[in-house]
Amino acid sequence: MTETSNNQPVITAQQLVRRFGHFVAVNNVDLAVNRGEVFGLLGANGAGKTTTLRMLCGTLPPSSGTVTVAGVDMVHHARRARGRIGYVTQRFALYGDLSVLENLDLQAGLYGMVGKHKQERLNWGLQHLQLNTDRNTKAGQLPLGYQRRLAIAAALLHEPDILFLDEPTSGLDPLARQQFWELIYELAESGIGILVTTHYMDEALFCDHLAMMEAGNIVARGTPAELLAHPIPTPILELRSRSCAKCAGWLADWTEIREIIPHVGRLRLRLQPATDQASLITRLQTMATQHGITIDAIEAVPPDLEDVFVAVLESAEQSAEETAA
Amino acid sequence: MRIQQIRAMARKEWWHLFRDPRSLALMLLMPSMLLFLFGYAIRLDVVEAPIGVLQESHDSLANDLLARIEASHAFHVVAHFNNRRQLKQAIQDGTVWAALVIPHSYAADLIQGKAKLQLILDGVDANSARLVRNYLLGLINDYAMTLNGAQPPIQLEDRTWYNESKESRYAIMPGVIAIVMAVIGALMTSLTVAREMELGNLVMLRTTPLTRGEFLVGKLTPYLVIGTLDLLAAVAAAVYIFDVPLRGPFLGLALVSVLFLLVVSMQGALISLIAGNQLLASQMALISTFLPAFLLSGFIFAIQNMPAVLQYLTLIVPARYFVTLSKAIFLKGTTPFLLWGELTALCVMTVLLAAVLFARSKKLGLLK
Repeated sequence: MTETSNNQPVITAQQLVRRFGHFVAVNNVDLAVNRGEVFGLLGANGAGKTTTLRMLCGTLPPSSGTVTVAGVDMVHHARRARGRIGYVTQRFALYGDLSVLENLDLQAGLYGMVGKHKQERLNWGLQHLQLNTDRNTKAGQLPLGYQRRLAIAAALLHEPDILFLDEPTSGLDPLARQQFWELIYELAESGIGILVTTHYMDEALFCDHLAMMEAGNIVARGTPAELLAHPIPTPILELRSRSCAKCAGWLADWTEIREIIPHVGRLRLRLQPATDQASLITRLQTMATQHGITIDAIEAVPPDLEDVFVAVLESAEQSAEETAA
Repeated sequence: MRIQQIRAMARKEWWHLFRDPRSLALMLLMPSMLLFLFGYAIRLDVVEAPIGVLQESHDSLANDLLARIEASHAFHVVAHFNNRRQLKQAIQDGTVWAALVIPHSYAADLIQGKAKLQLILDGVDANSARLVRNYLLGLINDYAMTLNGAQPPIQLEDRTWYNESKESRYAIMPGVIAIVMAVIGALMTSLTVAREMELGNLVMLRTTPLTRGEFLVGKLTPYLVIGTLDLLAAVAAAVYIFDVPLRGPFLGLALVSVLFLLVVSMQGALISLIAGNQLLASQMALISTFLPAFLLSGFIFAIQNMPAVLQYLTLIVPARYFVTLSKAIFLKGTTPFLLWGELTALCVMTVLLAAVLFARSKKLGLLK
């Protein structure tokens, strides 16, 4: 993907701040999305992702800061800027009682398309998002995945420079999620910028660039590779066994272990900083033998994105506490 | 305001309307139901009122009187009582609205010029009781004169202009059109903005270049079209089914109706915008538009007979002006420009509502 991106930002946000009363929902966010790039905005619910997205789309005026879409100022030239963006809401926001084609037709009309050009774009939408066979189906009767496809088609009819996808895969089954990411790549390859919000860490790996948000701030950013290479203070051990649940039971009160993350057939143990890993592994194996549990493997593993995210959050909290003190 | 965007919104709204059975029913069934209900059910005059007679005297003079009553279209003698108990029972049951007692001494008293008849009325429906009493009084006075063979010293020659036969539906039908319009205009539009807010479609619309003016105009257009069609149907029904004369210019009537429709539909949209959900909006529309159009417009209840407070209240009811205009055009054959006061009131309301609606629609979060 990096081959096609040409480092020309389609959207730039500078020092974006949004306050609601005394509450600061978004604090000094800077970000830029290039053409052909998939930019992921990560964070838990309430971290400020949606507020940021709403400001980027121009539906919420920022308290301060600027948003520029394809060279157009979002706040001062909202109408022109809106012609450059496409937005796919998390909840289906098209009309359930209208057919697929009627929904697209409406959208084309809202963007002022007419005649042959409109026909071409409608056909493009139906073809490209595989909605042709459902063109006369009521949108409300489509399965969730196809509703999202329709929403994407609607958001792309006017050929925007950037597409915003708010949690595009939430609620979809794994196969549909995979198909969705293929679609997203394909769109990015065609040269538009894509900004995705997600809280699925495994999906975040598919993005070209990531920004992690917490409490209104971007706490870490970079390519997935850069973020994974981020040194984290808490080493990770992975333990494979058939009796993970039992192990988790007696490991729970070991002070060296900060967190136990259960997976199928394995446990990820996040250790306290500066733990002597070798002695911990020895103690663990002895304990397992005493409990009659067979450990298939135990080894240090590189952190995944979630580990990095947690580590970043912890260090952010720590520095906040230090500043407060 | 761009025509493309308005057209797209109007078309979409049109699709919604024809897919939703509730709106369809409101659009098509409600107006015809109202027309027929009011056309047939509301009668402010007495036709074939059921009455009973207790005839204690069976001489030719009593029979003659009775024949007179039975010949009138106002009354229908449905019972002949043998005693007071039966009479009481019939009024109690409601089988008769009134009972006339012709006493034993009727013929003898009549010759002496001091005959008395007793009329017992069912006062539960005071209006009908009053009507029956007045009709019968008139009838008996006329009859008494023919017996005398002499002209009374004073005679009232009355002519009821614009409605010679005093048909109450002549006065009702032009008002029913106001009710039909209020239903289409306010009840239907009250749902429309609230629906977008409730179902979250606004979230999507906010990211498009649609402006709030385009949104409102596009949304209201289909209702104005349907309202105009309903108006045509209502006028046709009034003229051809209920034989109400349309004496004034049809175009004048169309003009004031569209103006009224504009006022009520903006009222509905404003309610929708303020309420934010469909249930509350439809209730608010019912209370603030439909009921005032019904009760405070002078449609059935004369405004001059209301307490002063209510009379002032009617000044802000758009239906009041429309009913006056509609009745005048239908029956008096005036052009709306003669009633410039009412016409101006509707115009002022249109402008005011448009301004308030536009200001309030800021809430939608669409482009200005």
